[in-house]
Amino acid sequence: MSYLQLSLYSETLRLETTVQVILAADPAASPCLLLLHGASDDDTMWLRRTSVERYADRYGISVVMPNGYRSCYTDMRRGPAVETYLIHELPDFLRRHLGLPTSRELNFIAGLSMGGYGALRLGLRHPERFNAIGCFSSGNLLFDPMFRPGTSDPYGWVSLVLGEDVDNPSSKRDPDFDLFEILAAIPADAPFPRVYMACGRDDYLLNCSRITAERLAAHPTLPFYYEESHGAHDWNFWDRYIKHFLDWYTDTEKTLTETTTD
Amino acid sequence: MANIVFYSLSPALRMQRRLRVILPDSRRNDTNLPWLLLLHSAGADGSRWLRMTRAEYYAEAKGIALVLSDGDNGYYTDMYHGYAYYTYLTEDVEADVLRNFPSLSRDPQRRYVAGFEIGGFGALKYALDFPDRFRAAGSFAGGLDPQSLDPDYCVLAFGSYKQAWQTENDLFNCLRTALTDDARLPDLYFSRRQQDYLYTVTDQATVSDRVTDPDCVTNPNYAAARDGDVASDSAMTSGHTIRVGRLNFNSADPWSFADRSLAWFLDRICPDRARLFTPSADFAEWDPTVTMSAASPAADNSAISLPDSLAKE
Repeated sequence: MSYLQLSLYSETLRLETTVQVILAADPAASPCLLLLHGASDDDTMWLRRTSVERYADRYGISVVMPNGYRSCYTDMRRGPAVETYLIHELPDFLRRHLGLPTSRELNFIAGLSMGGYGALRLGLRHPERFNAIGCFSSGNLLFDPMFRPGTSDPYGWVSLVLGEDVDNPSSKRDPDFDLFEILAAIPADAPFPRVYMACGRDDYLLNCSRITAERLAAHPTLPFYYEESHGAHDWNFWDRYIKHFLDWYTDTEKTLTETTTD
Repeated sequence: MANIVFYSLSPALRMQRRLRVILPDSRRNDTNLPWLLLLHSAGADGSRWLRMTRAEYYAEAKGIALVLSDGDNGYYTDMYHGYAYYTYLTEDVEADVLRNFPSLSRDPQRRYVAGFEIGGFGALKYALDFPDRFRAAGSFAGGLDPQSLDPDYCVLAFGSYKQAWQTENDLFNCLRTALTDDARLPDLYFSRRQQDYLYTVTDQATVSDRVTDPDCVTNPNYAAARDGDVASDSAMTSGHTIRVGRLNFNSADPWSFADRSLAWFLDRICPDRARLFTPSADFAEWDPTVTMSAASPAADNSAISLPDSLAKE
């Protein structure tokens, strides 16, 4: 299997941006995971902090790791249009120049923290593009009490992603960013991605994760799986859970799990 | 331009190898891109072309993709004492491109190869060995005669001078054979410097001026090339395109020479898009088939007389 670093000018972002790609032996015929990083990361972090390439090689899966900046993987109200880049511009480029697939049956999406929210949001807004979603250590993040206007806004999510004024917040939240509204808006006959969520019991986002899991589990049609385990909001947890997620996705019983880390 | 650094395992070298692929922004939607395989000099790697010249800028202007492979100090040769860098170039890089880069053209009329110094040797060697793969090849200060190269590396790469003769590493022999053949040859472009220690096919200097190894002998094909016999071979009139560009400044700034050679080469292979190269007083270009008939080229490296059609360019 191969690995490449891509640097390209994105017309959508109006920025020279980078992408890390793990390529399966036959990229056009293999599953392709769009894997999203967290708020303090960039496109290289999954590769550096976990053994994701080793796990992907075992299953013959390609992995595309873009740079999402601090966008929550949205078309920011005040900032770059990362959603449009990830759903249209980047897959077109990857298909045309690297032969990666764009079909739903070969595409799935996952992420940690900010990327977990991004994976859920993009997967549920574009169910015709992804057959599965993985969300690690996250939930309906932008609507969690922790990030309400009036509190501090360390990543600029309130002012830049949501486009609200921190000092003068609007009373109505934008449904485009509310995972529960997005879920409710999916037509009953749409293809639903199957969803996998996981969170560590010592994670400060545990509450956000549980609230989100309850709502997703309550949906009558959405295939949904939720797991909690020991661990916190850190790379030990995410290295374990990208492994567990790939086991689950490929429906394999614990082939990659090592007992010493479980 | 979109830059890709691609890592894969080479079966020939049994090593992880890196390949750089540069795609033009102006042809983002194109799936049949013309592309140039560009080879580096000894001790360098593919990144040096990007860092030391305007290769990426030129390629974008011409709408050509670049593929930069790494050849280490392997002389683009399946080394006598060393690794199989030629098989890597001709088989593994080829396989990587075909398997992973669908927008790079499979049409030989849209494929080019060129290189600087030992990369010029590699490019010409590749083009003469696989003439059906390329439309044109460029050798910029290419070291075409193994006998002229660093003796230490020469032994590792070729065994001995004699062992290189009449193999794919004896480019004078390959060139002579190719030019007497009716088969299609890629268009060939050579650029050379006045003070070159590496020879192109038209250099005048004799082997004995440069090497003192008693085992060294005069390659009869080199002598023929030196005397212009290759250039005046009757088969040349059958339509092979050969151009020689001569930059008369010394090699104190080798990458500047590489930059100008690349611009000149790209103008020649892609004349209908942005003009990159401005000839100056220190540059002369000639077509050996036109100006070198039975006579040898000038022995003193001074100005070569140009046909009128080229004099004003």
